[in-house]
Amino acid sequence: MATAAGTRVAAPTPSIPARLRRSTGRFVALSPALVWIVVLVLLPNIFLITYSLWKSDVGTITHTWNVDNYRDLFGSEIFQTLLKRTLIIALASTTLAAVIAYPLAYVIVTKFGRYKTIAALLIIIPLWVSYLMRVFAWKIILGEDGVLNGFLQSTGVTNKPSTAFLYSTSTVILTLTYVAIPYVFLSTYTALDRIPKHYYEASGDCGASAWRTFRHVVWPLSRPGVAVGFGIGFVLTFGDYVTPAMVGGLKGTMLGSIVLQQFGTANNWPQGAAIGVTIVAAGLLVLAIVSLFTRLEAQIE
Amino acid sequence: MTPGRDSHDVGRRLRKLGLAVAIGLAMGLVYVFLYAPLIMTAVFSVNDSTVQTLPFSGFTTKWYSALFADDQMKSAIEYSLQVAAVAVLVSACAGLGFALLMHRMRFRGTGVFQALLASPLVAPGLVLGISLLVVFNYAKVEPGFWTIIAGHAAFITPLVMFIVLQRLRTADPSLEQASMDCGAGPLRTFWHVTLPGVRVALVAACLLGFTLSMDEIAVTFFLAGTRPTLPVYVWGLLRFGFTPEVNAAFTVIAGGSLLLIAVAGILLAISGRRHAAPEARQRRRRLHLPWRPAAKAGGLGTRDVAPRQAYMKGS
Repeated sequence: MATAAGTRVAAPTPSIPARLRRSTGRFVALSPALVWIVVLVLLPNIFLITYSLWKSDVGTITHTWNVDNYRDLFGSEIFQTLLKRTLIIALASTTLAAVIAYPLAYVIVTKFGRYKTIAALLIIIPLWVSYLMRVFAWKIILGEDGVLNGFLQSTGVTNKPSTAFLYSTSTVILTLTYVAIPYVFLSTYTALDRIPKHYYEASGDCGASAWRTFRHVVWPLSRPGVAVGFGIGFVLTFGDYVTPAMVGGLKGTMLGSIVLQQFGTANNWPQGAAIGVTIVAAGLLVLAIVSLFTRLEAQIE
Repeated sequence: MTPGRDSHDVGRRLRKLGLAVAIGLAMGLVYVFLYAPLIMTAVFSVNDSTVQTLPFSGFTTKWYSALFADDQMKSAIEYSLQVAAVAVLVSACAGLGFALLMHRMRFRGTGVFQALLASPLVAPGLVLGISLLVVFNYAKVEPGFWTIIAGHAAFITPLVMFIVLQRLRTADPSLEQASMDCGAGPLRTFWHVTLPGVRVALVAACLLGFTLSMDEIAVTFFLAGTRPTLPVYVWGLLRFGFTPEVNAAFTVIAGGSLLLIAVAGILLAISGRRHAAPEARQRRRRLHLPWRPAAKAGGLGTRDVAPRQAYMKGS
């Protein structure tokens, strides 16, 4: 091996200094990336936890270590209600998104042939349109003077504008479903698209019905994609504050909304940080549960 | 064929057709669901009324005129463009560097490394925003231009990295080896072989990152300080009263974003096709190496093959 044409091939048993030099070289090459990770990923998370363990005295942060922030949070009824509601909203909207996105991806992959990429791109494109715009548009549609009310009145279904569509938990669920669909779709589509066409054919040739093929071939192979999509969708919707602020009203307030409050008007950063840590923990927990479903029973060759 | 069998066939075909129509309708509904809000915004940006409702009360461009007469709005747009440009520049350099690093170096823990780098991309913007905010606060850095850049670069860099990495994995490693064998140093090889190979993917990633940066609200809100970017400014407008001018602003930005991602998509498709079939690529590819020997001579056929032959002679 050492006699290969290149001169940069290391000797079979490099001396210790040579090995040291090599690993030092690697470390130097890696160091910018390490610095990047430390500064933009590790430190922020460490400091978030640190701040959540400090104390706020009327706006000034004192470095007294304590867990009062968490004790206050979990002792407060408001927080418990919000935590429960946020969980329900995130689970409901991500599940809805998965229920819509999976069949959609399935049909696109199996029936659209050469147009499948275009059809898939059309689902993902809204991700690149301003988040604020997508959420705000729902306010235009569902509001008291909104499009839906205008439509219902002009068709004679109702005779006065209804305020029921906006500012409720279901409005937030609807909007977050809308937001989550492209993410879940992206992940399920990738998983489904990776299943070779001849798997379907082989299953059909062996006499399996379309349903059996789906149940025993397609679903087991695409389940990890659904799980990943669900995880990402959950994390993103669980930590959202833009949607509740725009279309949620009082009944649609989520954990993110009070983080915003604590970092803004309430000026209690340690409390806000504690809620932030709770959001991260909930996200990690769901990702851990989801990762149980990402193991493939068989490998795609 | 007996008539009975025939009618059975027709029945089955009808049922199949019905199912296809039902699936088609359901899919159509999903597309409507996804695009209706966007179209509504665009429609109401030219609606001659301050109330956002149907029926349409006439075409007007006054909201666009108002938009371009609004100095605060223009200043916010300008600021957003600056932020996006710098954030993308930083992310392009970092993302390209990390992609090359990930591609070249096989070390244990690459997965952890990538997951850590990618975490800002999948974390909720709120968490990224407040976690960076507390670090900057502790380091006594005032929120402003550079804190926004840090926040945006944190999630655009992994995006660039993954797109470039994808391209590097499908690239032909023999090209780089050939360049090295011809005596080009690592820097020269990078500049003349590696970079041209990933250039299109890099540009596409930058365009995608640019639109993300222009539209970002969740992270930016915490890191913006006193001068707002466009989404932060609009957020303020939406919370305290509202004019259809905002619809016009959204429509302009969305139009720009869609244009950029269309360009990015076409670029990625082209580069994907060029790299897809090595045989076809080898025939089509012409290397522009300044030190290549006498490659210009010859007709159509030899012109393309000459560089590769030259490499072989060289080594």
